[in-house]
This record gives sequence, C-alpha cells and structure tokens, in this order.
Amino acid sequence: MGFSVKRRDFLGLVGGGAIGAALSPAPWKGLDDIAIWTQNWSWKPRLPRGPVEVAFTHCGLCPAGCGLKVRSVGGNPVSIHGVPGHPSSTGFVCALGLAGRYFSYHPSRIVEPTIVGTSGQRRGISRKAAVRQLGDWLDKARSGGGHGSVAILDNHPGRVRSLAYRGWLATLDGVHIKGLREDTPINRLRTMLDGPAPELGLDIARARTVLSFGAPVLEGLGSGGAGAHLRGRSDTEKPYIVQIETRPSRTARGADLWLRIAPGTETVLALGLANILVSEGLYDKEIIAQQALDLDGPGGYRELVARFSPKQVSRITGIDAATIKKVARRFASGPAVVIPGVDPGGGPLSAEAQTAAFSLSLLNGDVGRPGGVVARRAIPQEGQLADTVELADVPDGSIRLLIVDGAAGGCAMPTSLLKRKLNPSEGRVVSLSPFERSALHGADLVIPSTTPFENIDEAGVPIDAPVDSMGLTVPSMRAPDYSVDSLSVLSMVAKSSVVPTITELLRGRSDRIHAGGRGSVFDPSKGESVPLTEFQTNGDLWRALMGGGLWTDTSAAFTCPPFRLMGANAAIRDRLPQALEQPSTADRQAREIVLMPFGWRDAPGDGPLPPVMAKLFRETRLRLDSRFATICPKTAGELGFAQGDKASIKTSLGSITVEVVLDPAVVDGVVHVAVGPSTEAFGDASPGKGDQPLDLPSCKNDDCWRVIPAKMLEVVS
Amino acid sequence: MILTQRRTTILFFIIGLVVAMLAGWIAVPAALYESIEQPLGFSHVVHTSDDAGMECDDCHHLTSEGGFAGIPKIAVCVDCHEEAIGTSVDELKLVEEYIKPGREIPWLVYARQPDNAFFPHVRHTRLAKIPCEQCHGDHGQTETLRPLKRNRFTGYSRDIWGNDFSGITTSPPFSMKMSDCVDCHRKRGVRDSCLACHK
Repeated sequence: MGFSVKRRDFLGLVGGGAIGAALSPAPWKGLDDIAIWTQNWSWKPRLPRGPVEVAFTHCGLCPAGCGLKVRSVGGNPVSIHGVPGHPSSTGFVCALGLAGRYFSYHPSRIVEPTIVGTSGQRRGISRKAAVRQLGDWLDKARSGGGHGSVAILDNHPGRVRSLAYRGWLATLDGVHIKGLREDTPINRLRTMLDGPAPELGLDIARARTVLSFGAPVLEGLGSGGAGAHLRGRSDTEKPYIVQIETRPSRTARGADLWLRIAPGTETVLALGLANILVSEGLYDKEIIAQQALDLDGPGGYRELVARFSPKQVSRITGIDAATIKKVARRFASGPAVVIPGVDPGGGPLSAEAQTAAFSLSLLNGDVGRPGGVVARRAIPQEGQLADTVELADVPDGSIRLLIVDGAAGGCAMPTSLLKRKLNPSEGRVVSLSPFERSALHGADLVIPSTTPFENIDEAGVPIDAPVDSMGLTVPSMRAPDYSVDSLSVLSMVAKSSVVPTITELLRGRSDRIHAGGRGSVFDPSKGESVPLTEFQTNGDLWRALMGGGLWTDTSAAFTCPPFRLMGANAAIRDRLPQALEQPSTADRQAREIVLMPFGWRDAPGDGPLPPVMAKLFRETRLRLDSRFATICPKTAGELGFAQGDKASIKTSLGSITVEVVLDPAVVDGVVHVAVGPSTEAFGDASPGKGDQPLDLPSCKNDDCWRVIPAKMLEVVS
Repeated sequence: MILTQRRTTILFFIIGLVVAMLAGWIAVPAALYESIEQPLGFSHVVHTSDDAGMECDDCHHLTSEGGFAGIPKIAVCVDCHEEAIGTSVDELKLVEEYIKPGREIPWLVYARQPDNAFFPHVRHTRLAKIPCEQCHGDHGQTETLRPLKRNRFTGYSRDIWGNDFSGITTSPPFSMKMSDCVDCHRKRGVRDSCLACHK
C-alpha cells in the first residue's frame, strides 16, 4: 500500500501551520515591526541629536515682539516658551509664536527664485539671474520715471532695516511705503498735530475708558499678554472697554459694552459722540481753547458735529441714542484711549473714520496725558533718508518698480490695491517673501528671504508701549542656502557697499542707545532689569541684546501741540460731512448683502499657518477659515439660506464659494468671511486657494476694503 | 481505511503546527535580529571595582538641568586613559584610535528610544525612584559588552522589545515598548496621555 498525500492532508498541514504560527509571537511581532518600519523610512527627516541648549530671543512674527525662551537640541529648536517678567510680553506667547519654529519647514516655503515668463507661467531661475533681472528693472524704472518710481513696501516699518531701505531709496529718489500694521492709524493722529510730532503710543494700561473701533483689545492687541492682563484685572482697576464692531469677535463678547454698529458707519458714530461732548461741554475746555485751530468759525468742527445729532446717528448706525449719550459721558469722565482698529484681514477704517475717532482724543485732552496717547523719545538717526508714506498717499500708477519686503506684518492687503499704485504698462513687483502668499500672485519676480527665526532683526515696538524699546530676533536656526537677507539683495543690486548689513545697522542703533545712557535692560535669564548706566561699554549692551535682552527707554514729558480736529488733509475734511448721507439701517437691510472680510488675530493675515494650527482649525472649527461665511439667521432666512448651505458671494471682480454658518450675534445684512489660507488647501497658496475674500474688493477709489457690497447667491451644482 | 486517512491528516496537522512554532519561536527571532559588536571592549566590573573605585554616576550622571548625560564622552575617559593602562588590545585601541585623535567612541546604545519618544531620566529615577536595573538589567556588573541585537526591519535594539521574544517579561530588565510605558504609568497613577511622551 503506497503513501499518498490527499487534499485533506495538505489542509491539515496548513491549518497546523497557521495555528502554530498563531501560538508563536512571530505574527504579532511582525505587525509591530511593520508599523514601526512605516514610521522610519529613510526619506523621513530625523531629529538631530546633540547638546540641549536654551537661548533667549524675541519673536519676529508680528510687531508685538514677545520675549521667547527657545530650547534647542543639536542646534535645532524643539520648543518655545514665554519669558516670565518680560517688560513687554510678561511671559505671554500666542499660539502662532509657540508654533513659530515650524515655519522654516512649511510646505508653502519658496525654495528658489521664480520669475513670471512671457507665457504667464512662473518658473525657477538662479539667484544670480534674479538679481540681474532686478537690476535691469531698477535701471529701467529710474530712467523712465521721476520721484517715487522705485518703492519698497515695508511690512514691518520702524526697524533699523527700514532705515536702510530709506537710505538706499534716497539714492534713487524712491519712496518708502509703510505696510499695514495695527499701529498704522496712529500716524493719522500725528498728521492732525501742527508741526513735527514724536512717535506716539497708547497707554491702555492706565486708561479709564477704551473706545475701540473694532480693535482686538482682548485678543492680543499690542504687546503680548496685554489682553490677558486686561481680562485678569479687577473691575475697579481695568479700563471700561467699549467695543464698536459688527462681528461678534472675542473682544466684542468680552467687552464691558459692545455696540453692534452698522457696517461702515464708524465716522458717523465718532462724530455723534463728539456732538455730545461739545453740546454738553464735556470736552477739555482749556486745551481746546489754547490748541484747537479749527473748532469755531464757518466750516469748523463745532459746526460739523452739530449736524450729527444722536437721533441722526442712531438712525444710521443702528445704536440707540441713549447708549450713544451714555458712552460719550463715560468717555469724558477721565483719560481714555481711542483705537481705530486695523483688522488683520479687513484692513483699516477709512481715513475720515480714523480722523473722526482721533478727534475725540484731542477733544478729551488725552494727547500727552497718562492713560491716553503718550510720546516716545526718539533715538537719533544718521544719514539721508527717503520719504516714508502710507500706501494710500502714493499716487495711482506712479510706481514702476515695487519691492515688497518679506517681513510678516500681520495684515493682508488686496492685490487690486497694490496694482492700482503700479504704472499700468511698466509696473513691476518684486517680492522678497519666504512664503507663497496672496501678495505674491501679482509678483513678477520672487527672491525668497529668510523666516523670522533664521535671521537677526529688530523686534517691534507694540502700539501700547508707552516708551521706545529695542530687542533682537536672535536667530535660533540656520537659514537655508536658498534664502537670502533682503539687505543682501539690495547690496547685490547696488553693486557697492552703500547698503550696510543688518548686523552693522543693529550694532549702530545699540551704540547710539548706549551713548544716550537712558533706560534699563531686561536680562531674561535672571528675570530682572538693570539700569543702562551699569553697562560699561557699548559691547556689553550688544552682548546683552544678543542674549535676548530688551532695552526700554524712560518716559518723556510731552505737551500736546496745536492741532486740527478735522485733520490737515482737505480731501478728508470735505468727506466728513458726507458720512451723514449714508442710508439708514432700515434702508441697508433692503440691500442684498455687505461682505466684511476679517482676519484672526493669532493667525498671520497674509501668511501661512503652521501645521499644528491648521490641524486645530480643521479638526475643531475653533477658527472658521475662508471656506465659511457667518451670517445672522434673519438675513440668511431672507436670502433663502440655512445652516450648512453652500453659497456663492459675488462682486464685479469675482466670486467665492462658502458654507453658511448661522450666528444670531452678527449684525443684519452682513456676512463675515475670514481672510487667510484655507486649511483645506494647506500648503497651496495659489490663486483661489486662500485669501479669497480679498480677491473681491475693487479698491478703485479708496483704500478701505472692510465693507464690500456683494450678492449672495445659491450655488448651482 | 478511513481511520488511516484521518491519522495521516492529523500527522500533517501536527507537523505544520510544530514547524510553524519552531519557526515562530526560534528561526524568526534568529533571522530578525543582526548582531553588531561594540567598537571597543569595556568592563563595567573593572571600573566599579575597589581598585578603580568609581561610582555609576561618575560617568552616567544627570546634568544640572536634569538631562541625562548618557554614555560619557572621551573627555571623561581621558582623565585616566591619557596614556595606555596595561597592554590589552582594547586599551591600546582606546588610546590610539580615540583618545589621541580626540575622536568620540561610536558606542551602540542598547536602550535607545525612538526620536518621537520623550523620556526624561530625571523624573523616572528621582521622582519615581525606579532603579536603573529595572530597564537596563545588571549592565553595571558585566565583564564585557554584549553585541547589540538590532532589528533588521526597524533598526530598534532588541532591548526595547525585551529579551524574551514573546514580549512578556516578568523580571528585570523589563522591556521598554510603548505598552510597557503605558502599563507602568497607569499602575502608578501617572498621566498616560499621548502628549506625556510624544511632545
């Protein structure tokens, strides 16, 4: 009888093998190893190993300039913390700053110079070719245009780097344009003062009342942590915060009084408040009598505000007359701060609204008194500098070559506004941004610069700092070879040593501060400040600053000079009475919709989000991004929309598709959409993938884009 | 006839079972790990003997900031070994190849955790008072350094999985898998969220 293997035997063998394998650890170990193997592929970046070091620096992601403690392993930052006791940030760091180290690895980072070719497509070129092209355009712009044909848009004005820009531009008869920041409106107040005005700051901490026109007072306005401190103070200590805003922002919800104002009617409300101050004699009579140049007489301020009766103002703004009177009386009861807010996405108020708002400060005698608007002492500067202007003051079509600085200013701007300032036929834009961002969509040439944690620079002086200061963003990681400092680019184009290096400039400012002998220096490693006079040499001060120290000046006495309550600009003065011609709130509801773009304070207005924040946004909806439109249920119902519906918001320039989110706190007739890269389009900042609301305003006639007439239509699939 | 057929099937079943178990318990572990010799012979016993008089934390100490210094650099060795002590091959190699050229010894680490795991020695040894031997075994009593058993797939040391291929260890040195960390944390009532170790 022969031995034969049947099918049943084979199945027995396989079954036994399977059970035997299951009774051994091999399969389970195999699964474990495969899981680990997939996490350790060779192309995945590996963390460096090396000594653990702690260094101090300042954040360069926004003008707040918070003090940072950076822990590094093998030369690479692994964690960021605040610095307790820091004179400006007091230990606070926002979510953006905590995740700041991720920016160096961001997928939207530009890794080579690019140029727009004749076909309209962007293509990579060498740095040498990019600099040569920039030089050619510079020569052409100078030969073909006059004053202001070459300009630099500086997203973080006020640094020594800005002085270098102005020095370089002075040799070219160019202009230096201040980018939009939250402290931009305060320049409007300076223009209302007769004669040269010092740098001004807002003394929010000592104010009795804060009148905020949409400023994110409780969300990180000014120095880091200021909002948290305001929230944390007892009712008797903290200022009374009046938030004037359409959107139910966190500040609006947390303010002592939230005035839900009709969109675009801030000028009317400010002049309405002035009406009560003047008619009830609540203004500072002594200062006004001595210093006001345009209160009385035909066409004077008194005549202007008399037209803005509480009843008229209530009709237009939607705020009842009794509340307006209550706010005016509260405002006049002590030192107050008025903040015409700059929204990171919605931009500034109109020029006349800013003027009307600051006229309240002048009426109340707040300019030059603690708890109001205070002056900062200046550090002497050297050399010839080009004019510095606001973008709004640049004549349309005058710029032939615009160089856009790569700093993160924290505010986005519509591309259409920049385009309006360019020469229609020969205008060129060169961007030095390290990231793909909305402003790049119109750039002819891009030369990527460094991110804030890779390059030395000067941290900002926040809007609420009563004194000047100097802190450095000491690099905590090495800049990649494909990035270049913006001053190096100018130096290469200038082909000479006209442009100093950033280190030379910073060292020069440090030396001038040391020579002044004023103020004190905060040592972050000890958490204490020492008088500047204790620093024997200027080298000692420089080493302290390079160690993350912060120099702060002493306060200066300031007497308010003569001023014009309606400002010096005749065009703005003429527009102030026209505010009354706006339709009433009842009329407004009959219109289709008003789109009000806005930006989150703790997300860069026109820059990328770090990955960890994109995850938070997407997975929790803590911050609704540009895919969502917030609208009140009443307006939505009138237009035929319900929660979760898809809608198309349309203007003459285009349309965006959004998901409807109902919020009863939003003012009737208004739809809010956030500006910024969509988290769904993470890493892709190409047109249509982010900053969408800012593609919609035309900005044909003015420089304000926070109120955009639009239609809201059903999406036809 | 039917009975014979059934016996044959059972026989095949048993053969399959035995072969698979042998493979799973013996062949796979032998093939999965490669054995790598340390760059230099080293005796812990000699260094901690009465003659040398060294303590464990002379070399493996916590830094002033609480970090673990790990394996000492040659700056520590050079205090005694600037010149060769004795004539052993390893001693001469230490002096000629590492001390004199100032080159660090590329020691292979038996207990290296992956990069995504944050493991502070100071909390475990000082706060939790866990003895070194619980994870590292009687390493301090060894005459020679054993070869590193490295997983060909993952690159991890076998010490992480544990000496027993079953993954179950009942006496030190215990394995150092994530599940071991979680079990211990739970047993001691310590936070065991993801972010406790994966920062």
